[in-house]
Amino acid sequence: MENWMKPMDLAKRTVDLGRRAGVDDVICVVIDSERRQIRFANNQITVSKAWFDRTVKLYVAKDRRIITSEEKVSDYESLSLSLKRMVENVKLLREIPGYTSIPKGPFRYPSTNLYYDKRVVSDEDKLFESVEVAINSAIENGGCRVSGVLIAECFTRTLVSTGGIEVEEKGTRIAMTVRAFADEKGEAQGMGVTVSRRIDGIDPEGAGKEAGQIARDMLKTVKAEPGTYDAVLGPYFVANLLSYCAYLFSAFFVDMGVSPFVGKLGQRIASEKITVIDDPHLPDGYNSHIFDDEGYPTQRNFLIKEGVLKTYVHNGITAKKFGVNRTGNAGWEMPLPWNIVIREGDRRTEELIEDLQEGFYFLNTWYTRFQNYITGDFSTIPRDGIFYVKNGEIVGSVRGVRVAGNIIKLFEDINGVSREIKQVYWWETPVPVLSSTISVRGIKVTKAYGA
Amino acid sequence: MSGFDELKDYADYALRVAESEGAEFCEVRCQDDQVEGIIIKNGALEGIKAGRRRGVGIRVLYRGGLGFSSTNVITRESLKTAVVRALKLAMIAGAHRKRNIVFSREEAPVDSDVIRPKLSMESMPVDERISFLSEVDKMILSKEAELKGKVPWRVFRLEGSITEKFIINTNGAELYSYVPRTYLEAILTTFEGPKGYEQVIIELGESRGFEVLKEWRIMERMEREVETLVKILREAESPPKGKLDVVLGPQVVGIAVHESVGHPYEADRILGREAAQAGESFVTMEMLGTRIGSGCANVVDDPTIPHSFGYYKYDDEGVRARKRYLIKEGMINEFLHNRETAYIFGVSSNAAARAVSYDREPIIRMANTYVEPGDYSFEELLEDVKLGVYIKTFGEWNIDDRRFNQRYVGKEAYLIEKGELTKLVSAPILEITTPKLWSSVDAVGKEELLEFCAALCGKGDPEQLCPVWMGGPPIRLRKVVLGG
Repeated sequence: MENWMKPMDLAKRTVDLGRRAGVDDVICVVIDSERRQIRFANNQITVSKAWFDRTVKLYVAKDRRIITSEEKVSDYESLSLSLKRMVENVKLLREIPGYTSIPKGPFRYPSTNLYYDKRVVSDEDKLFESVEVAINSAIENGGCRVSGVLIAECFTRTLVSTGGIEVEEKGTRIAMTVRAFADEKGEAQGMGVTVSRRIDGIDPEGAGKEAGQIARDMLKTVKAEPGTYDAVLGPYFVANLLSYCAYLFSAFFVDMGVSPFVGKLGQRIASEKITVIDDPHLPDGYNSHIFDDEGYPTQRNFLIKEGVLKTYVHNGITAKKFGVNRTGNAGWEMPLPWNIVIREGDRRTEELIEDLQEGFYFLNTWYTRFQNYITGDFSTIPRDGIFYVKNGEIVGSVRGVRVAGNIIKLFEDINGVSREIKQVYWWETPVPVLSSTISVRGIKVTKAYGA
Repeated sequence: MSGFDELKDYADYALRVAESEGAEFCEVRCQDDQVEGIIIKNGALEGIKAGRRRGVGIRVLYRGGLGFSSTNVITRESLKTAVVRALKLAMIAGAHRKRNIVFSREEAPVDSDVIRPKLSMESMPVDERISFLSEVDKMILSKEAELKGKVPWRVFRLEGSITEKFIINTNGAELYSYVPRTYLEAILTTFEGPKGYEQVIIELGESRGFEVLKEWRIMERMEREVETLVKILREAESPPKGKLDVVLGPQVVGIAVHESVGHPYEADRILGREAAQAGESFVTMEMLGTRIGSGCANVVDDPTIPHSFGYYKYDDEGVRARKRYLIKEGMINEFLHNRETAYIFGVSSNAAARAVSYDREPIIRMANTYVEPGDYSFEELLEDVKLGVYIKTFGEWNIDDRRFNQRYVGKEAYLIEKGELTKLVSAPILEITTPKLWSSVDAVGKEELLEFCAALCGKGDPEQLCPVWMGGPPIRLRKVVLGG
């Protein structure tokens, strides 16, 4: 196991091996990743982690049959054994309906200026210092217990295919979540998130301040009855919903009948104030990439334009099945958006709140679950800032409420979008979202029996 | 298992490096997870994916801090680097702590646990697996025709996996395990004219080979699911609302014990370690030994159930697994611990530390969580209910981050009138607090009504999807509010 090859050499050699074994197509993606993570709780670090590993993804096609693998195995010896097994197995399989061959390159890739900063993993002192700054800031602004996580990664992603593609990209990224509690019980909660591709791009002090202030503001409680209310949804709340929707925009899930967007292409599915873009070229985007897992160049795609559903996201096979062009989102099995962007609106967040006669201002949510993916009926549990608003002013916070409704109806009922935008990526928002605050009419707010 | 012995040699090397560098404690875990999955969508093969994660995870205690590093670059140089990196991170982390992290003292067993599948992945080639699921799909199509219904989407995901582990630590533990698992997920969607769509997701899983596929009676089960979905669309009426008696079926009991007992009893959550992700717990250290339920329902978490999806003999800190009573006779009896939380609580670890891959730290997880059977037959659970609802299965569910306020929306549910199930009702909503739920239980079904369902439970950062079972017999709740 002492063989260590450069990623491009490993990918080329693996593809050559597949070619010589007589298969029609091979793609090899090698991701070398070095990561650091610092987790903290109760104002102190609980664990620090470091990873250095190699992931190799293999795609083998023969006579319209496809087999894929994803291996966290680094040595060529093991990989060549896997490849040989895949070559033997692929012959046993059935044809994939709607098979299409891999894209033929070479391609010209978008000339983006993605930020790159190796210090996100190498400057460990700065990472620990950032954690300390965030904790102190949250405490200074009202938190009594502060928890969170800082995760940083430096990666090289290399792709070689029998389609004549040899491409490599390097990337860095860093994200920090700070969660503060202003009471011992843990009900007065606030969260702040900061995300970038550069170590100097994150704002630990700001994230800590945001978390601490929200938690402090949550201390004053008021009663509110369950019912139907207008609401303002903060960027973390909106990002959570859109991160779930990232999967629902995937042609893979649409084809499985596991999406409320089935059959709605070209139709209005949201207020005309809403435009949602998948943008893999954001210079500071947490998940920006120049090529997808088929080696096809990534591109900006309008998912929703002024309320109308414009496209699902595709790989080669789903694109053929749906009779459209590739969108640069492969995933061999499941195409996915890269960075979801809500086009900013023209209102200030304060104005959206001022417009609320009576309703809720929800800053964050989690545990969004669907009763039925086709109909889009869902519920979600607000957290980290649940405020009751009367006559345009926050009068206090409310405990233990839930939002229930229908995702399409919620999109249709949006009546305002903020001009402030914020990049959000955290544990409950796995697909990054450049998010806004939105206002929405008539959402159902419920409470549990016994609360 | 070729190559794994070689990996074990590297583990010894890493442990020696850690000892020579002064680690106060070190644990090295070699783990090789292999998985093969197929997806059949509407009778056609959608994809085949193999996966493998093989590498070494190293955890150290050093100068008061906890450090973890992992690598799948298996060279002496990279392992040494990984150990040194873990030590350095632990040291810096320790300097930022007010209190040192200490592990509880535990036995240091030397043992192995090997479960041989009767029907291994190699013995049931991929084309046979495809044929098996294609036959299930054909049956659904014939059922569709018979019922004159529509089942526009039928998706099956079948995975076989093998987890091979070798764990050693500086206390002297040395443990080898080899566990196969089989997992099936089915998503069925029916359509009926103006009433729209109904959808169900079914998960089955056990720590066995593919021999389990026959025992799961998948044909019969899917046939029944399709019949039920069609009936729900055609017949289900609005459920009654207000204060009613509610009987929960084993699947709903399972999700309720998992979410509202298992998770809040995880000692790391109680101590706030997961606060920034899945949250904390409404349960505090001081609540141990206090009343939480009516006394009718004992809640257990037991990793030792043979073939269960959450099975293990030793946890990933090398502690021997045992059955754990979380709620006993209505009292909070025990929390789930790893060695770090056990030390803080002044107890021994009860072996709840699990890691799903070499590159994940062991954290506190459930295994198989369930309500212990009582002595009621199903008919007895219903017999004195004048008006109520039997929620047999659920669709949507969620719970807040303190595990206090939860919601289960019924999928297959029936009206109970004068002790009899009378008609299907549509999507009844039970939204209730945890103490209210467990204090409302007044009857529990008997042993033969006990059922489990499988799930992949998410926790940790990076997230770890951990195989678990959850279940119980049906239980009855007296006078709870059904609404939404």
